[in-house]
Amino acid sequence: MRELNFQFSCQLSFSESVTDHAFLLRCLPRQAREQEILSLNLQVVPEGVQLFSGRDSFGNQTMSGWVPEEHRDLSYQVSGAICRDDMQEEAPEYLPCFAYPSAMTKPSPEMSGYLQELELTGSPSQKAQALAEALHERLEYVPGSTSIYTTAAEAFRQGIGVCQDFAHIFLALARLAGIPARYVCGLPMGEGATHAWAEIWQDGHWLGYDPTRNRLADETYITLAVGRDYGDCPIERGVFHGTALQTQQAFMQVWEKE
Amino acid sequence: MQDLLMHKDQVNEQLARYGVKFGIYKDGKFNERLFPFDPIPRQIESRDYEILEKGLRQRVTALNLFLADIYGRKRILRDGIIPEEFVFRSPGYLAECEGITPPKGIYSHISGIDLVLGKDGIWYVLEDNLRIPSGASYPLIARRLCRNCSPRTFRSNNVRDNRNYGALLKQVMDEVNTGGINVIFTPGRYNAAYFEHSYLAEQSGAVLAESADLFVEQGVLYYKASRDPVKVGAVYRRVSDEYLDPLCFEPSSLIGVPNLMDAYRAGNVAVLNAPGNGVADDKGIYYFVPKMIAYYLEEEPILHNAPTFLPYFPEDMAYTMEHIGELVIKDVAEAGGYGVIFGENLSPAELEKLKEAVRREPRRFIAQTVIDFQDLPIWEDGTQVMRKADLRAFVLTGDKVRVWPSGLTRFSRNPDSFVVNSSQGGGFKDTWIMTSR
Repeated sequence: MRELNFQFSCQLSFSESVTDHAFLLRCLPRQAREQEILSLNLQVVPEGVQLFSGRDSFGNQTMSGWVPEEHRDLSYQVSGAICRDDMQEEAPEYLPCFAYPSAMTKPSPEMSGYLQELELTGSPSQKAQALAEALHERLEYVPGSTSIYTTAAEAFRQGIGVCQDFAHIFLALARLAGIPARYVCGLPMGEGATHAWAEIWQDGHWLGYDPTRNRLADETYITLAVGRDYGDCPIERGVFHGTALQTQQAFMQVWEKE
Repeated sequence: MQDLLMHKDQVNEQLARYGVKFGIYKDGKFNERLFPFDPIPRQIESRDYEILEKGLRQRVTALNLFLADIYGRKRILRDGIIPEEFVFRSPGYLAECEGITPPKGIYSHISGIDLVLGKDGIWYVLEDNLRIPSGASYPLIARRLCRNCSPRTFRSNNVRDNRNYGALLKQVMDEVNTGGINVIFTPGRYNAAYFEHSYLAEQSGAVLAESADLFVEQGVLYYKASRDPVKVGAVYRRVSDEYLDPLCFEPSSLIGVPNLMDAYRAGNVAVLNAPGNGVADDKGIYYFVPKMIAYYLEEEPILHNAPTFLPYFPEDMAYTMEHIGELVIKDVAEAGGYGVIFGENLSPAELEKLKEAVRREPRRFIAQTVIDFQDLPIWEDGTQVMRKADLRAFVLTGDKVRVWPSGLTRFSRNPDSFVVNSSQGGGFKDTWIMTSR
């Protein structure tokens, strides 16, 4: 059991004014049996934007909003504390679709061949461990080498990517190996950018693996949202009227509670 | 009846003037075509219709229960009636709909069930259409034009009135409405079925809206009326699932309403038909519909499926391989009459290729016995000729399950073709349900 403080802020800037801006945020920690929210504060600019809170089909907390007036910025800042407990006994939420390929994690023949070469053996967690290690070896982490729309197959082919791609490839291969798995985006201990990793389902529990960093995604990781792949759980998604270019600046910090 | 035949050209001219068209994509191009009308109505006797009606209500009831189960507790999968992968590998299954309970638990409000009448006198269901089945407006308009051309035809025959479709649609929308106006949400006038959208709006008293007329704020869907925005309580959307909400489905969609799914999930608006229905009208799931009826309703299915084989099951695979030359093979991922292959039309080499494809991806195909179905007469160049025809029956589900006493009868204009889908260049007829006198 571990208590973590966190702070996460994101600013979207538009090169020109936009209107009719609808957005959906998944920027709050996921409320789940294995992750309890101790305190929470959310601020959004433009001030006065009314947020509507909901929960999507994967159990993620959502905040939707609508800004019809002209504006050039949208920013949000979240802070608070959570308690993470991966040892608790109660069965967490599960959906059978996590066992099947999703839009961004369809394995290519090349990937099926690679999985066979790996000859994974043992329990799902042993296989996942070996898979995460193998991918960490094989793939090169290069910021900006892929986009948010890059699929697992495309990233695997080029052999480079960012955390989202590492997670997608891991998911595609884990599912191909018969292990149900889900995509996670969130905040790991430390500071910098948001992160993505994966969890596998074993004996009624979710176990986290971080193929980008070649380590377990343990109780030092805060989950914001989960899904079959990135497409199910982006931290922010929006559409607006206008021809503006959008830039984004995000920063997060996680530290252990005293 | 002779009177009606004389008016064939006149009715077709009127239909053209109304813009009664449908659009098809072929070779990457979008074409709009007139939908040729044939004046000889299909007649269904009252006692035959009674069975049909009962069977349709039973089938649609079971399909609605199946959808509630799949996006809910998934009992039918746990009980092993349907192999899980038929559901979760179906392109129609939308995980984004997991856990959503639509108003009154109804998923398929407007169902279009495609049937054929076999030479054995039995109705066979060929396909269930539970997403956004179109076509009700064709017989509706054609009936009106025929009535204008030849009023006495309808005075001297005991034909059930079908003019209540708009009222039935309104009733369903009212019954699931969560408070607010009824809206028909169209992708716009370049859509193949735009004329139908505007016609149904007129008939049902709903507001016809496009994406730019709608927005979601605080989990509520609004229509931008001339003064203040008005809350929408039920939206009969004619936009397909993937384009419905760019913040939930296809992000590049320009014809959707952002956060519509958020409002729907919160229970603040009814969406007709529910997103995610494609999992129940998937060609692979079709095979299991009689099993659903037995499972959920503990009843014998009244309507028959066409005899279907799933190569996924080893014994069905063996049968399919042996009889492929007599079977029709359907690609479960294709719709609109595409991806339908008749074994008898293939050369031995082509048959081998098809077998190979089925063996490689068994889950992707179904095989069906070619049903010998009854031909219907059509009026061509002053004489009657016989053509293949099917029937799309419309079933509307609100507080009750109601069958519209009419339907869209489509026929193949090509005498050798079994495919009567309108995308394949066929025509249509009026469908007369006869009263018991």
